[in-house]
Amino acid sequence: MWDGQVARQNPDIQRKRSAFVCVRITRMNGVDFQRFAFDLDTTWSAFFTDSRLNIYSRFGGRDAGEPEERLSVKSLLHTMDEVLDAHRRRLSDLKQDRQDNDPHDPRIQPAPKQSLTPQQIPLLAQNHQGCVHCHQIREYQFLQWSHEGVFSQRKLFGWPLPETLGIELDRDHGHRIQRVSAKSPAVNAGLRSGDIVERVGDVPIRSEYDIRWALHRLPKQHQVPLTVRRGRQDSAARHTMQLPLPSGWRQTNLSWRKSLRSIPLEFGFRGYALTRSQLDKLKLDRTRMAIRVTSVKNRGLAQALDLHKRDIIVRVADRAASGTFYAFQSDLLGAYKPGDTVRIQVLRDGERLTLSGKFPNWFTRETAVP
Amino acid sequence: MTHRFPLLILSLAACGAVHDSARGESRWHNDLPTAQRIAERDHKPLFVVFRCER
Repeated sequence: MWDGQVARQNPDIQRKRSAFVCVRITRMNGVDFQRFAFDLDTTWSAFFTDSRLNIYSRFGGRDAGEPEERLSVKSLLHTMDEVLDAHRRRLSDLKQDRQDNDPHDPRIQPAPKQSLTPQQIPLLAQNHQGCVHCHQIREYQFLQWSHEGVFSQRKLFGWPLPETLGIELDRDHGHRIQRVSAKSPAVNAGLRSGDIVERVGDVPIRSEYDIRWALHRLPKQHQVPLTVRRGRQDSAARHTMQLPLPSGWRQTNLSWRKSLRSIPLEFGFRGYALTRSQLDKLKLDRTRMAIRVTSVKNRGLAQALDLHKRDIIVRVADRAASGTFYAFQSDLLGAYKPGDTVRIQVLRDGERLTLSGKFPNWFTRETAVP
Repeated sequence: MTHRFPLLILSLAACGAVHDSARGESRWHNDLPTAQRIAERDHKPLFVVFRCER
């Protein structure tokens, strides 16, 4: 497992670690998660900082695939080398009085204006005792925002994937572009395979996670400046370009996230994805998925759509239904927001029906997270 | 039985105080202020890992 590799098993990481002071934190109580901002649904994240906790780089992140698929020893070693280089340069500048400990030093990542610890979330402080897990912070944030009436679709989606913008990164490097998709925002910006991403907005980049954080923290805007190094090491040139950000670019598949259970939306129904043999039996396309509704409560989205128990959902927002019940929920949350008209197609008693209704307002009765 | 050994190592690591200086390994500290003081003294950067066990 990845954690064991980093903690002690991989000899290359061990050797490299001796150049750092290593800290391992296993509970979030008291941690400033604004400064140490990471995807709170993940179980492993790392930061490289100076002694004042100015951040050089962050490392980690996952998607809906295997939890450790996006992590590689080579890319971690690469990031560690880049951090050590930046740290030595800063130390050298400080010794020569060329620069004070400047919080705006472009070699370090921008710091948040305020700190925030889990205990500063009122519902968490009231209802939670003992060890605070990462995902619980995100879930309490969902509940808190909902009760304060400030929850929004945007808050659901974070840590966007570079692939959404047409950038596929070399997993063994971290921030070198391996492939640029045709007709993508990346190709429109002029990015090429082999480019090394050095800066996104005001964030210096030393890992893929840095790119995701730089995108994650962007306010609503239509493009972001991005600087790349292009060409051979000895004759490389820097290029800055504007990367367009099309609608929906922040969205990722939420199905793997533990925090999905605390999203303030009353679905009002439960279900499961049919197996291939069940699809065959119903003469449905076995390459597509379908969701069988197993229970319905007379509230929320189920009520708005007049969904029935035993309905089989085959299309959502004019797309085929996703693989699992959680992926289906993720699709719904990405496609609609409160007030929108939801359209789904179901099979009911052998007949194909289109159901439509208003997407309900964000709402939860919950005040605590299990 | 064979898979229990790495699990044991992980659970020790999760306690936050993996120390094996006899084998020349770098120590994992479990509190940030102490690590910051050492980093300041030794002019080293910090490597901070958050490992959430659930």
